Amino acid sequence: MSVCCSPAEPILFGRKQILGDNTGMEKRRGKNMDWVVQFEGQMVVCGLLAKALYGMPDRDWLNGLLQDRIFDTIPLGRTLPELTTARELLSGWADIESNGIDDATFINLRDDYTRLFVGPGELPAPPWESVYTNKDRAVFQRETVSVKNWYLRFDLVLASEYNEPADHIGLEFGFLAHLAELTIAASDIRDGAEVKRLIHAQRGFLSQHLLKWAPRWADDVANNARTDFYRGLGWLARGTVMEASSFFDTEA
Amino acid sequence: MTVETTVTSKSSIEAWAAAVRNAGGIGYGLRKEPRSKSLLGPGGGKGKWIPADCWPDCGSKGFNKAYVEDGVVVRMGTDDAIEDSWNTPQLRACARGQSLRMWLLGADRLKYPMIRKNWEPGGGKKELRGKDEWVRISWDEALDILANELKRVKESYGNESILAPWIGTITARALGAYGGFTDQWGGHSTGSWLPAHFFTGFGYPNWNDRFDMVETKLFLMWGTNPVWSQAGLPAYTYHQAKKNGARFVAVDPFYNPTYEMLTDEWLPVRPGTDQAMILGMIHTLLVEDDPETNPLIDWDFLNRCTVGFDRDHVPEEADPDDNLMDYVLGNNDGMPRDAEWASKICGLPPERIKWLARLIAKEEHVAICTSGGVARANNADTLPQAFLALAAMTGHLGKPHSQLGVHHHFGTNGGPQLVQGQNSRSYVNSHLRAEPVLNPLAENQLAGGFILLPTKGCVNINQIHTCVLEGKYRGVDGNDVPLDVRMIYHAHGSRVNQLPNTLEAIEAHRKVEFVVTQNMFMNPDAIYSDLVLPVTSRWERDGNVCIGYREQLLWHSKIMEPYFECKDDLWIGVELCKRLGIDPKIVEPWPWKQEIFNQVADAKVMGDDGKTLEPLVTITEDDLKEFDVEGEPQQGRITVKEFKEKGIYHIPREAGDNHGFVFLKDFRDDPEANPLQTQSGKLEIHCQRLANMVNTLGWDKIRPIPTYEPPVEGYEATFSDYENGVKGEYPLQLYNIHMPRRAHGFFDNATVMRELFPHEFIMNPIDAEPRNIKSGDTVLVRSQWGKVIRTVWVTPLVMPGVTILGQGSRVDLDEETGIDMGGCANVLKGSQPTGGGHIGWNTVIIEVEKWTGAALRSDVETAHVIPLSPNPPLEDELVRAVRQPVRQREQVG
Repeated sequence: MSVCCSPAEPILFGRKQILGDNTGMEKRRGKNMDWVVQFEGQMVVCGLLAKALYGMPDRDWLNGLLQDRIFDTIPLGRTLPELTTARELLSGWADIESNGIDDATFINLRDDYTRLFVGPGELPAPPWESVYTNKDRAVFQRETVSVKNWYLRFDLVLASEYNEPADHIGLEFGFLAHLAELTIAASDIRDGAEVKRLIHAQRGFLSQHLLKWAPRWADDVANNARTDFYRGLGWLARGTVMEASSFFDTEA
Repeated sequence: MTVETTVTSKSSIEAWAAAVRNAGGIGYGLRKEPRSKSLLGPGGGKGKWIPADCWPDCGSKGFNKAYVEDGVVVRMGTDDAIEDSWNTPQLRACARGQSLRMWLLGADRLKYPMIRKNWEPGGGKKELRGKDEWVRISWDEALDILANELKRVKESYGNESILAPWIGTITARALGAYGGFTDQWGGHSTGSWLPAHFFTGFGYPNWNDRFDMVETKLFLMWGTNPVWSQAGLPAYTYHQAKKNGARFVAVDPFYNPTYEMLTDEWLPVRPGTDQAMILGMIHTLLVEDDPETNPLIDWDFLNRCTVGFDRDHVPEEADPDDNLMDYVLGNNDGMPRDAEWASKICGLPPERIKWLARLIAKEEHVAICTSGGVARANNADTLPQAFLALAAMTGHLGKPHSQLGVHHHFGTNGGPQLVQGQNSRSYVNSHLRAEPVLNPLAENQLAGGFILLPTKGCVNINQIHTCVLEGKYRGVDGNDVPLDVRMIYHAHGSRVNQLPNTLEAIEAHRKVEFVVTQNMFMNPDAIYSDLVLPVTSRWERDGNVCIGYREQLLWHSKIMEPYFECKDDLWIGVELCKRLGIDPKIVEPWPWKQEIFNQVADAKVMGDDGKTLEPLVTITEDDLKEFDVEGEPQQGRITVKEFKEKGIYHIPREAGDNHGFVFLKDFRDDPEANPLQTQSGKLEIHCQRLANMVNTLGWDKIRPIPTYEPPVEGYEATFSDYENGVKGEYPLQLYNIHMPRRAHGFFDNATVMRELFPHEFIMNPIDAEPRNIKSGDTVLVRSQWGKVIRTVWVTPLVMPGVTILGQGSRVDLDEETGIDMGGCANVLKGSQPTGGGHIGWNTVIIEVEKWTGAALRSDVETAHVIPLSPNPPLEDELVRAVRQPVRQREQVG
């Protein structure tokens, strides 16, 4: 039985070279290593979390990750204990699955994702911010609107044809990845004011949104996932948010 | 400190970048929208109020509205646009209505079509239903599976093998047009009143107008609790009567909040024994009545307007021994049903029975207010006739300020509807002007309609699950009919949880080849299904028109976009039609928006003369354009826009207006000119048609007059030796009431309702003490049908020997022990039908003991939305390290 999920619609930002052109990456790194590494790291890790958390597991994509052995290192400048745990879990998982994901493994991943984030019924780790931060623990709340408005201010909307809450953990990570990407691009053209604005935005989005709930959500994932892949992603999400908030000196 | 620093390698970042690239780029799930700034909402404080439907069928009605800001519902309001007065009371929302927002926006709603992991055509590990995992699928896949299963079952086994009990009139239109399905018959709430309303001449609704009612001097509240079950205007009307000086007396095993508010006396009576008590009262009046010196009985009314009370007034061709008076006095069998006899059964001292009989006989104006609850007892088939006899002989039928009012559905307010619109309290309703679609397997009844009386091809509600397991059901002629159920179709209802014997229901669901449920929530029907289809609430559809009580018409509008991938029942029905080769117009003849406009245009209000109906709304050509609908301009009382915006119309009332009503008054005044629709044309205390129905079904034999038979699982059954007072294995009775937390199964999963209202097992200290049970303990309640665990509330508010477990809580079966941790009362109730096939929920016998196993999680914890974990489960040191500002950590590193 095929698995449906929301269509992956890439955002074509016109600055594809950031992701697509490795020489560009190297050049930038030469100029301001620490600075660029931080945003590149945030961009790719959050970008990966977006894909891994927003939709059902994508077998081909996961096989690509295994092939590239990406979990051998986590490209964030300073590694927190959460990230160490994440790397251990994810690389351990990757070692076991190094020959590619077979049917049984894929079904386990699919079932784990379904049970954690899809339902039906009770969810061990509901992937929507308002469930964690709203007093009524419901979806489609003021928090959801606030997140939607953050996206709108950066010219983004949900790609889904259905009415889904904007505050899905995967979408929030995708947004953070986007802001990191914009920061690098602004830095490339030495637009100081824009960089400042973007850093301010990242600090704001982290403190108003992700930092308020992602750590608790990640704990629920880590405590309830049955596969090391999603357990590892829970730790990765937690570590990424903590790392970013440390970098931006942010508190919830 | 365990913080470490690593240098990111070039190869690492490039591999990660490649992974993101392969995911389609940054921002998966988002897309660019150049006009985004224009989509920014106006922000907080700039929302608007929209009339919001509340359709769960508690039988009452409140007016709700939702405050919507930037597309989200941020708070709830109620009917506050008019000044509140007795003449025009506000139709205020209850706690349940106010929780709609949290309920409908709960994270536990069904979001996507799901298929059970191990399902395959033919069943696929059917025993895993309720335990299996789920796989998300697309709507196309889900509808293909459903259509293929319908085709397969129809072609292999025939339409009869599709059991679709009370699925509402939308999906059923598709199934009806596809050759039909096996439906159910029987009422749920009304107990044995249902056939009585049809056959005895005592119809429904049966209340006097509220302006008449508040002048009543004495109210006998008999087994009813509208404060909890039907919050809203019923209790308000009683309160007005109390302010006018009325006296209230309660008859009930439980001193409930309605009685706390109103009553001066409480007469505790055991469940299922009301009929014995009434017979004892009738006996008292018969022996004490003297037309000259002590007139207690309204012989004039009995003689003119009823049949069956005494030997001289039995119907022609009836056995003259079949009269109530001879039965009560014991003239034929030497056994008088006197107060002493009644007392032993019902538990009330004989003096109190006599006192109550004299009280209501001597008082000129009495309202006996009761409910379906007393009649939801096994073998209570003739209880309504006993009530009728009591009310008739005490002179309280068909007279101003006197009445026998049964059920608080539609309020304590009788008479012709002063506003006319759809009575749409049920979850699914369809196009009113559309050609009806009939179910060819159910004697061409409306497909999916509420089939009340025995109907060929339909299964009695008690037997819905038994018939699956046993392969047969009781036919209308009393003979068993073979039935091979291969598929169960659930829509909008809650059969597993809300019909007797939930464990049997689960077993039945694990037997068939396919189960599908379309619902908003993962209710027990859905849990034990193979395929679940998420449906929208009425808040996500193009509105709804319905009556409030007698005097209010409501128009609710769309509140929000559909939740996640939910689709409405109409859309599902249409898609099903396409796959089954049926014209989709059968399900959706015109768009719902047009349908609602039609209903608004058709809405009528009563003129001041009390006779002429006139249109409610004025519609202009401009309105038709603006609403983008077809129609004709018309003249009414208010503009269509005003109605749409306000959402509620109250018809103005005042004392002495032309809308007053006294039930059965015309009949009392001149029974010959105004005959009732009975065999005799009179009120039938002797009701042959009712007896025929029961006796033909054959579960029991009854006489055509109201007699008391010890009910199955009644008080007498709590004894192993009744005569000598030796208690048996299940020595306590269980009373099954409506709780404030929910309306049947609705609202039960709303966390806020679980926080506000407990769902406890309730028992008297006299029963608790010898069992070493105290308030707050966890207890195991068991019957011959199942076991339930609950927290106990020990209180003298329930009479000794009687315990209470409210209905509607969701079963939460521990598969290892077979114990229900959710407190579902139907786990304790057997599904054996008695009499006319009503459900005897208030005749259940149980035993209770202190629970010594694992602690029961609180209902708030088990609500289907996760409670927040207060602290992340990390070690303190780690937390501190993580929270240190980056500069300090760099120094550490």
